[in-house]
Amino acid sequence: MTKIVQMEGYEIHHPKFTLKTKVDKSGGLTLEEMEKRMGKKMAALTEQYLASIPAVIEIIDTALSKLEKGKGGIAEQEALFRQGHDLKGMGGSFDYPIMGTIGEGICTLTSDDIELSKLNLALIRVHLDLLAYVAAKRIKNDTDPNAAPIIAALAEAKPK
Amino acid sequence: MTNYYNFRNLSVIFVDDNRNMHMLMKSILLAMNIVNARGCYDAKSCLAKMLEDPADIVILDLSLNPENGLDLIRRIRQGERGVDAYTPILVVSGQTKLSNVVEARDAGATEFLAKPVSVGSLYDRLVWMVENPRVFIKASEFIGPDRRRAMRGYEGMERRK
Repeated sequence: MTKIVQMEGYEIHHPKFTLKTKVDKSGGLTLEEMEKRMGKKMAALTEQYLASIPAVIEIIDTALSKLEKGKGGIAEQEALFRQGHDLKGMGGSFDYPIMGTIGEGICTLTSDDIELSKLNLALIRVHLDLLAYVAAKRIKNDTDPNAAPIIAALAEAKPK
Repeated sequence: MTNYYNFRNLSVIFVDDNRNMHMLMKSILLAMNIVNARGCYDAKSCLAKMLEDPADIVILDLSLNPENGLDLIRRIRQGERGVDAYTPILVVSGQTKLSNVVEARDAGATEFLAKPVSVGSLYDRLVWMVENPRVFIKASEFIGPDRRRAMRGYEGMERRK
């Protein structure tokens, strides 16, 4: 049972069960063994992730095109931010940190503190083109020989 | 001989609205020997799964389309529908501004891990959570792990680099 200590204006609860009571202190895998297990799966997972990128590009392009034509609204801005956010979180997780950087750029350019009329659509388009290039060439990070123009373009593609 | 934690008996629910993240998280948890891992895409199914079979830990993203992960944390801490309000909650999010971490802490999150996520970073944070349990504070405007003891924040990520 949870022990509850009454204080002045609040209570301190000591839950009976903690994670410590639910894990064994021995018999586990080392981190190296876990990483080895994960390494065996990573190539297949990355392929599945890369296979999902064309759909991401399509969603970004659709939303961006609407905004460029003056037909888009907050929903399109939010869609762009969401795709950027997912790229930012997952690019690095799937060993494509450069996609994470592109996603972060899209997030910065579409965050909700930027008014719809002040979105820098041209720079968002640059990010989309870079994403398409990186996905097509399978550029993982800045050590890739094909990455130099991307790194330069990303450095340039910042709001002035 | 060095002993390593065996996570095999842990029951985990992870909540993320992205299919790729599900794939990745399931694989990471399996690599860590956590076989009882259930994924869900929204708050409603998370609460339903918690009721059906309580989890030892909930891992969730802050950005759940169309919901907000912060709301889910608050609902768990309120014990909505009878879920265990003391369940440890690990936020795994790409929203990594200090304000995001503080908001998660104030909503009642136990720990915060910044994406990108890897076996190393998740292992690091789970070991931290096992070894550093926190008491709960219940006040008029807050229920959750004691905020006076800081979350691990970014420290673990930096150490893993």
